[in-house]
Amino acid sequence: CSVLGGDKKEKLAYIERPAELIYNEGFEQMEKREFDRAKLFFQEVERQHPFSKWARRSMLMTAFANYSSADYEEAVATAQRFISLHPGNESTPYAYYLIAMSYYDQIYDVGRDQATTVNAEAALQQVVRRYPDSEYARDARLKLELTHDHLAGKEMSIGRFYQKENQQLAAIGRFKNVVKNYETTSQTEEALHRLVESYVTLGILEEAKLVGSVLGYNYPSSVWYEDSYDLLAEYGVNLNDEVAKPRGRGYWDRLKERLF
Amino acid sequence: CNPILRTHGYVATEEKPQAVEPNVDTKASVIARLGNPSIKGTFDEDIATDTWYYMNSVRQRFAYLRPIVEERTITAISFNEDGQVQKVAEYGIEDGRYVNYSDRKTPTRGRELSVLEQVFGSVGRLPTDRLGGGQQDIPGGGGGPAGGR
Amino acid sequence: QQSTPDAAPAAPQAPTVIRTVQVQGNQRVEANTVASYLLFGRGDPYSEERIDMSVKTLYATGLFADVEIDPRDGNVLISVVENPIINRVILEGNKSLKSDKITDEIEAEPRAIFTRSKVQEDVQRIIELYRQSGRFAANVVPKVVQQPQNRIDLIFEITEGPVTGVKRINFIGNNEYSDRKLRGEVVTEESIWYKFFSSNDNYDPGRLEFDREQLRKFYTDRGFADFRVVSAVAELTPDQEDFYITFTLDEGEEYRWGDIKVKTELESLDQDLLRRLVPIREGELYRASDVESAIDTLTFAAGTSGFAFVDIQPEIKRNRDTKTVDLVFNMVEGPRVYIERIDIIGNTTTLDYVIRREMELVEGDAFNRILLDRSRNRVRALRFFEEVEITETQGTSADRAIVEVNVTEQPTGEVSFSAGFSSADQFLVDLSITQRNLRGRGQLMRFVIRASSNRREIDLRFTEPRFLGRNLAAGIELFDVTIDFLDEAGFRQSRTGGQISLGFPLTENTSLTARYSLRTEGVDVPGLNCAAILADPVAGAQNNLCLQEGDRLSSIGGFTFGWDRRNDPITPTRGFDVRFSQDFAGIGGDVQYLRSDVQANFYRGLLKNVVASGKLYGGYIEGWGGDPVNVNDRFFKGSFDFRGYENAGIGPRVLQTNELTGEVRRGQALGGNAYGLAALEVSFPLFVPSLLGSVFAEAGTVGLLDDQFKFETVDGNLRTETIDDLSIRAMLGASVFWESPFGPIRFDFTKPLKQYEYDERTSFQFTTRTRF
Repeated sequence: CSVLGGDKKEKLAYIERPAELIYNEGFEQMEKREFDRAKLFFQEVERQHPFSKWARRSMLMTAFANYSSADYEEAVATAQRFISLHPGNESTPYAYYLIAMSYYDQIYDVGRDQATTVNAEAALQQVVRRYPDSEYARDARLKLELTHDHLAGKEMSIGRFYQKENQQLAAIGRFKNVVKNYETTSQTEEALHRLVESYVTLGILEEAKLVGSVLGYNYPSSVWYEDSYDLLAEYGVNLNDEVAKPRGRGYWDRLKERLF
Repeated sequence: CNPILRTHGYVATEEKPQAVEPNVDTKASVIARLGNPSIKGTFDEDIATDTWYYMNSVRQRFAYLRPIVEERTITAISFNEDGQVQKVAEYGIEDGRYVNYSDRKTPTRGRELSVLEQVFGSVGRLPTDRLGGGQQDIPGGGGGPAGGR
Repeated sequence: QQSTPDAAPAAPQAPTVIRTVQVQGNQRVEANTVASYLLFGRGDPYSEERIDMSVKTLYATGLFADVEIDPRDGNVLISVVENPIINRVILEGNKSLKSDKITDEIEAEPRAIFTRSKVQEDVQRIIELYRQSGRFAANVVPKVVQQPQNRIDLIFEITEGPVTGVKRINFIGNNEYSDRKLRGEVVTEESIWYKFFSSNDNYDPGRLEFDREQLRKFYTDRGFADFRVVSAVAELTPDQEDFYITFTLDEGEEYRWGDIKVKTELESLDQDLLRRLVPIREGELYRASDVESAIDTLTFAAGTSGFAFVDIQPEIKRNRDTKTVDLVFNMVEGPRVYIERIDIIGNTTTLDYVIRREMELVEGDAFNRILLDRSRNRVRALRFFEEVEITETQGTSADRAIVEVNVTEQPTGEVSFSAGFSSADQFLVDLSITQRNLRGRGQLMRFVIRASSNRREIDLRFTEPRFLGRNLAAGIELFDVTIDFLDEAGFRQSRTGGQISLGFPLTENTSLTARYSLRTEGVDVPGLNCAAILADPVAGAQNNLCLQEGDRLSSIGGFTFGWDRRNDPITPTRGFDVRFSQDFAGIGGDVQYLRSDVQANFYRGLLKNVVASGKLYGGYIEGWGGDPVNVNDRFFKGSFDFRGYENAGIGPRVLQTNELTGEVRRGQALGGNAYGLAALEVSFPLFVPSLLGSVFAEAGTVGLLDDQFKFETVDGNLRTETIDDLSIRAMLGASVFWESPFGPIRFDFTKPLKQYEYDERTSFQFTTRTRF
C-alpha cells in the first residue's frame, strides 16, 4: 500500500493520514532496518501532525534512523532540533545520548585525526553532567574512559615516533604530557617506562631512577615496571630498593607532582 | 656533497647555560638569561629541590643513512629549597647509552579504516561495526522510544 | 485569526506569594517546557522583575509569537501564542539562481519554526546572494499562506532585475601609464558582449578593494614610492543597469634606491657580507617587492649561521628632494620562541607519522619560519592533500608556540583512463589504477593495463618511501610490455621482467636513485621468413631486421642523479630541475650497451600565473664489446614526447627513391643511438576559469645509426638507402588544457616549421584522465 517512488530522494504522496498509522508504518520499516524509508514516514508524521505527541516521537526516531544508517551529521542535527524544541521531555536524555554516540562511533584509530574523539568526549560529558543518574550516564561514563584513554593513546603513538627517531627531547615532552593529563588511563604505565628509556638514552640516570621508582611505587605488578627494572639493573640501579626505601609522608605524591 | 646538519632543542645565543654560577644565580636570573628550560625534573632524593635541563643536539643526515646525533650538550642546573643554584652538571654525547626500546604497545581502539576505504579512498560512508560497547538498539528502551513514551 | 486575550482587568494589589502557575494557548510546546523557562515557580515570592525576565526568556526561545503573564494575585496565568510551523518553502521568480542554491543559504525550511525576524534575515541573505552574482536591483517579498493546525507556507517572491554590469572603468591622475594598461592590471573588467563567460565583469565591492591593492603593487614596483589610490567610486546609472567605476590616483614622484645598509648588533654576523646578499643596488628603480625578498634572504642567511630568532625591521626613508629612498635593515635578536607541540589535524586517511616525518622541525626546536615553509612544501610534495596550511599559536608560556599543520585530504586513488587518437596509434586505451597513499602509510601502488592498436602493457609497481624507517625510497616493479612497431619499423618488441630501485636524498636539493633491472627482450619480425633471408644474406632492411630477431636477456644496472631547485613541487614558477641517468647493460645477460640520458626543465613565472618553461632533453647509447645497439634499445621519438610527429616519426629511416620519377617512398624507421630535444613553452590562463592554453616551439633530432645497419642498394631505377643525417626538425604548436568535470583533457595542435618528406606527421592528439 506504500506509495514510495523508486528514486533515492523518494517523496511521499501528500495525503493526510492519521499520525499513528504513518508512525507505525515508519516503525515497521525500522524493524526491517530500512532506515532511509523509515525516515520518510517519520518526517511525514511531523509534517502532517506537528502538534501530536507522535510528531515528537517521530523526530527522535528520525534521529535514531540516521544514527543506525551511519549518517552521523544528520543524526546529530535532528537530535539537537529535538532538544531545542522539547528541552523538558523525558526522552531528551536519550537525544543527548544519541549525539554522544554519533560522535563516539566515528572515532578513528590513533594514527588519524582525533577531532571526532574530542567531540565525543564533550557530548558524553554533557550526558553525564545533565542526567547523572540516568542509565545513559552509566554508559557515558564508561565511554568517557575509553575516549580519554584513546586520546592518551594518540600522545603515546607520537611519543614513540619521536623516540624511534632518536628525538628524545620531543619524546620526553609527549610522555610527560600523558602522565600529567591522562593519569587515570591505561597508558600511564607505559609512559613512565618510556621516560625511563629516554632518560637512559640521554645518560641522565638519576632522572631515570626517580621516574622508575614512581612507576614501581604506583604500578608494582606492571609489565612495564619489569622492563624498567631490567633496564636500570644494567646500570647498577635496583629499583626495588628505591621503592622500598622509607620515605616521608606524601613523598610519592609530591615527587610525582614535581616531576610532571 | 656534504651531509645536512640540523640543530635541535635549546639554542644558546650569547648567554651560555654553562656560564650559570652556583649560589650566585637564582631561578629568576636563570630564566631571565636563558629562558624556560627544555625539561624540568628533580635530581636527588630530597624532592624539595628542582633541576632544570637545557638540552641542545646537532644531528647529521646523509643520504639514506639513519640520521646520527653528532653532538649533544645537556646542562643540568639544580636549585636548593629557596631557589638558589646549587650545582651545574654537564652531560655530553658520550654519556648517552644505547637502549633497544620495547616494541610492546598498550592497545588502543578506534575505527580502523577498512581495507576497501583505504585502497579506494573515502568511498562514501559505509556503516561500520560499532566501536566496543555500542548496543544495536537504544539502551533502556525496547526498539527505541516507541515504547509508548 | 489568533485571538488576542482581552486587556487584563485593573491590576489588583500585587500578591505576595505565587500559589499556582497555569499555562494556556500552547499547542505544540508542552506546559512543563514553558514552565522550565520561567524564573519563578509555585511557592516563590512574587516579584515583578522576575515576571518580566521570564517574558523575555520565553520570547528568546523563538517558539512564541506572543507571551503574556497575568499575575491574578497568585494564580499566575501564562497565555502564549505559538509561532507557526513552516509547512513548505516556495521560491517564485528566481531564474538566474537555482532554487536549491537559495534554500541552502536561507534558514527557513519545512518543519522549522516561523518567526518574523528569521524571515527578514532570510530576505537579506537572498538579496546578498543576488548582489554577489551582480544583480543589484534584485528585490524579495516574503508572503505567508495560513494552513490548518497553525502551519504556514512561506513564499519568497523574487524579482531578479537586470545584471548590473560594469559599463566603464576610468582613471584620473594617471599620467605615467595609460587607462588601457591600468585596466589590464585591475581584476574587475568592463562587461563587453563577447565576454559572456567572464564572471569578473559585474560590480563586487570586495573585488574593488582587491583592485586598489593591485594598483598599489603595480605602481610601487615601478618606482612610485608615494603612490596612493585617493578613491575608488562606483556610481549606478539611473536605470540601475550598469556601474561607472572611477579610480582617482595620486602617482607622486618616481624614486630610485638611495644607500642601502644592514645594521646588526649580533657580532658574529658580518655586516658587509649581509649587505652583498641584499639584491638591491643603489641607483636602481625603487621596487617595493625587493624589500620583501631581501628580508627573506637575510633571515635565511641568519638562520643558516645559527641565529634562529632574528627579527629584521626595514627602515625606509624617502627623501623628496633627491627622489631617492634610503633603506636600513635592522637585524635585531627576536623573541626566543620554542615549539611546544606540533599538532596535525585533518588527516582522516593519512597516518600522523607519514606527515610528521616530513616536518623539518621537531617539538622542542627553536621556532624557525624558513624551516616551517620548507616543511609545508615537503608535505605538499606528497600530493596526498588538496591544501596544507601551517599556523602557529601562543603556547602555554610566552616563549612557547604551538604549531598546527592543517591538511585537507584529496582522493589519492586514481583511475586514469586516456584515449589517444592519431594516424599512428588509431585508438589507444590506457586503464591504470593508482593509489598513492596505500593504507594511509604513504606507500604507492600502481597497476596499469594499457592496450592500443600497437601496444599491450601490464605493469605492477609498489614503492615504500621510508624503507626500514630510513630516508630511503625502495621500489619494486614487474612489467610485461609488447610494442608493435610493425608499420613504422617492421618489428614487434616484447619486454618482460622486473626492476628494483633505491632512492635517497644526497643534500637539500639533490637525490640519487640506484636501480637494477632484469628482463628478457624479444624482437619478432612476423612479416619475413628470416630463415630464408639469412640463408643468402643480401644487404637490406630485411636482412638487418632478421639479424636482430630473437630473444635476449638484458641485465642492467643504472642510476639517476636528480637536482631539484624548483620553488614549488607541483606548480613551479621559478627554478629548474635536472635529471641525469646512466644505464649499463652487461652485468651478465646477452645485451651490452651504455646509455646516458639527461632531462633538464627550467621555469620562469612571467606575469600572474603566466609561466614560461624550457626543456632540454638528450640521450646517447653505445654498444660495447663489439655489440651494435639492437633496434629495440634504440631511441624512437614522436607522438607524446615530440608533439606533431607520429610514433617514431623522426629519425633514421629506409627511403626508396625512384630515379626516373623522383618519387620518394618512406620505408621503415630505424631509430637512432642519439637524440636531442629542445622546447620552449608559455602557458597562460584563458578567459574561462577552467581552461589553460599554451603555445610551444619544439626542435629535435634522432640519428647516429650503427654502421652495420646502413645500406644502399640500387635495383633498376629504384634506389633504396638508409637516411641518417641527424637533421633538425622544428615545429610550432598550441595546446588547450581543460579541467573538465570528469577530468583534465589536453588537445595538441601542431604545424611543422622544418620537416622532411620522410617524417610521419600527425596534427591532433588528446588525452584525458579522471580521478575517483
